[in-house]
Amino acid sequence: MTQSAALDDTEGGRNDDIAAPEAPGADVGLINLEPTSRQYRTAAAAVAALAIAVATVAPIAATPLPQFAAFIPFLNATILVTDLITAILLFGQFSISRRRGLLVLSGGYLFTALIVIPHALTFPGAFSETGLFGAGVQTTAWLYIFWHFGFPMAVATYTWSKDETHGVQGSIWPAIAACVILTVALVLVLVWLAIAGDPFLPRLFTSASGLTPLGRFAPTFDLLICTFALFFLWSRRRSVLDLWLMVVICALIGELALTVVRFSLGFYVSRLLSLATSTIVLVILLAETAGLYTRLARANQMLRRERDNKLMNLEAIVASISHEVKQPLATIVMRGSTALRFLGHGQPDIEKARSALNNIVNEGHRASQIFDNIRDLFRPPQREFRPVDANELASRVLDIMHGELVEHRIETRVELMPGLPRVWGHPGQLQEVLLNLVRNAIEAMDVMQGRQRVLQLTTEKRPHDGVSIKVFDTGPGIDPEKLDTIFDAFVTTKSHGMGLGLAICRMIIERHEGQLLASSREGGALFEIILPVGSPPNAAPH
Amino acid sequence: MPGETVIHVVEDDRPMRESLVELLQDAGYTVHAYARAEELLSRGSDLEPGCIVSDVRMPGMDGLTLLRRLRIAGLALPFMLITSHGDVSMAVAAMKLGAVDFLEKPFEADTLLTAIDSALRPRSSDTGAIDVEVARQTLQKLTSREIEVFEGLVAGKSNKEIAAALGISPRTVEFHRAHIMDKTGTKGLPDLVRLWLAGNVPQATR
Repeated sequence: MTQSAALDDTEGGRNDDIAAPEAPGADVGLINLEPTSRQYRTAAAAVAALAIAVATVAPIAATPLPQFAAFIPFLNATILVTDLITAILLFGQFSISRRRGLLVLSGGYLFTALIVIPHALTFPGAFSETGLFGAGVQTTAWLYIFWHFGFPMAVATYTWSKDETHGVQGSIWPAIAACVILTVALVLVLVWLAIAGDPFLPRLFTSASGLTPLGRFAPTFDLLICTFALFFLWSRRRSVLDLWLMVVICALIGELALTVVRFSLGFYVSRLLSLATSTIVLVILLAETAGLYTRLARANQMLRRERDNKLMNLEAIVASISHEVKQPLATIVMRGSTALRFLGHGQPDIEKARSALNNIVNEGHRASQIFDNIRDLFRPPQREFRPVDANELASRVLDIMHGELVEHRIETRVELMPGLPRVWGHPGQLQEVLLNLVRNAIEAMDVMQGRQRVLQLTTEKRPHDGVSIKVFDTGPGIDPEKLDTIFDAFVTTKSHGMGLGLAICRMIIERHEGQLLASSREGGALFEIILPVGSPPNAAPH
Repeated sequence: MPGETVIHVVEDDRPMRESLVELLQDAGYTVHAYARAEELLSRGSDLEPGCIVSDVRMPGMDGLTLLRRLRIAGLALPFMLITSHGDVSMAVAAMKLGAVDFLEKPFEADTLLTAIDSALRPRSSDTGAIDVEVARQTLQKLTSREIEVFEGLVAGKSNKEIAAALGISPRTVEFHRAHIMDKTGTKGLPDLVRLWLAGNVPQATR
């Protein structure tokens, strides 16, 4: 997916944190994750090791080894368990992604898990001399052929349908049930065919360990199917699952290539490979599931924290707005009732009433202005974003506030770092935030008597994450207990018209993908705006 | 008639401050207006006797701190708080510090004048303050659940918080609240707080 690629392009971990929760749940899965280059290397190494093993054993594959009767029951029991678990996990993946391809693949693993049962039970010498259920000489061999035909066919079918865009609609359970029933039925039919059809099926074995020419060719047929499946998969490979399925098919090919006379070296090695084919996907599924679970849990936690923050922020913003709007409303009610009073006097005081009504009109406009300002703040401003020079911004704010600073006998110290990179943002909103911080500083210092009042405004480039604008005052500082809540509670500057709460300031800065930090240091408070440099913020989903 | 009685208005919002001044002057009071709590406090013992009407939320010192400072300085002028929404817990704290009343914005001229009038009424007569015995009897009319809700209200909790604490729905809290007002004949939160503070003595000994 391009999303993950875009993530890697951005520097630092910050953007990962932001983007991770945005990944939709259905896209998190083996079938969607692209393999990393490390996974590619690991898979290639596995195939290489496999090839070396097969190449080493092949020349001496026919070397007879002691007959170990419990080998097949033991091996097949293991395959039964691992493939059953793999099937269940794949059904789980299917229930998330709803892709039919995965359902078929699950069926393939279930098929293997089931067919190894009769294979072991009918294996000559395992449970009885000739195999249970009245199995003939050919039965086990045919089951083996079916087994190694069915599985690559399932993989091929998976490959064919895995990229279809529309998944199963509605409940997934009927689909899973149908898949299970069909697979069980198929296995039963094949078992019946292998047992009852034993006399009629082409002969693969002359005796328990003697192969007919057809018996030598049959694995080759399966091998062709496997090779087809491998190349088909290679041509449409996309996901981690695809990658490891290719390794599985390679192991399967190796297994079939070594299949020779029973209880030879090749036979044992080939059966061990079939164990490998059965466990590869399981191990990968488990590893990926564990990794995905960790990522999901972390993303979930982050989402929850983000939501809580948003709610808290929203509460603070609503409180701030309602406080702002209540000022003119309170004045309107006050003036209105006072005007009524003037008119109710024995000698109605028309002039005073007129003046009160004039005031009401003004307050009405003021209330409306507050809403206009608020609407401007909340309007998605992304389109109006442009490169902003933090130094220009600081200078402009100081110009605007010059009169007020002088009036309050505040000395201004400015340190602007030359050649700052531009930040991406809404000039008006950023200016409003900075104005607000300066006003807060002025008010804070107003309280202090007999102490030098200094407002320090600095800009600087931060090592990694952008540009910082600091507003430092020599006021009383921030109560350490209030430091955590200062952005929740609002420090209002209502006497100056539209007083933005700090909560709104922070919201604006966060919409710029930046941070607004407050701290208290020796002799005053420090507010710091940190803005990312350069390109537009990538959080522009609307 | 108010005559020479002085009202000190502390309000940082200029239009509101001016409208308060105009009303109170029209009502015949002498009015001193302050944009900041510190301005009033700096006058110290020069402060003319009368009544203080102060906003709660202001830049710099807030109304509650002003009240506390005045009490520490031994200035016992009747103190009235103006709050906007969400300041209930603050107002309750103010009542406990001895504020005579609080008004929630927006309020009308008559409400303010009546409140000031009763704040300035001499305390010696029984009409102004609530009789402890009456308060106790009134509180005894309430059920234990209503007392619990009452406690929450006076502690400045929201309906939601009270509901969560008592394990009932906010709706039920509203219902109890209306019932309490009904039974006690109170009109608003200031009344409730006053009643609670007056009747608090029997609560402690029960």
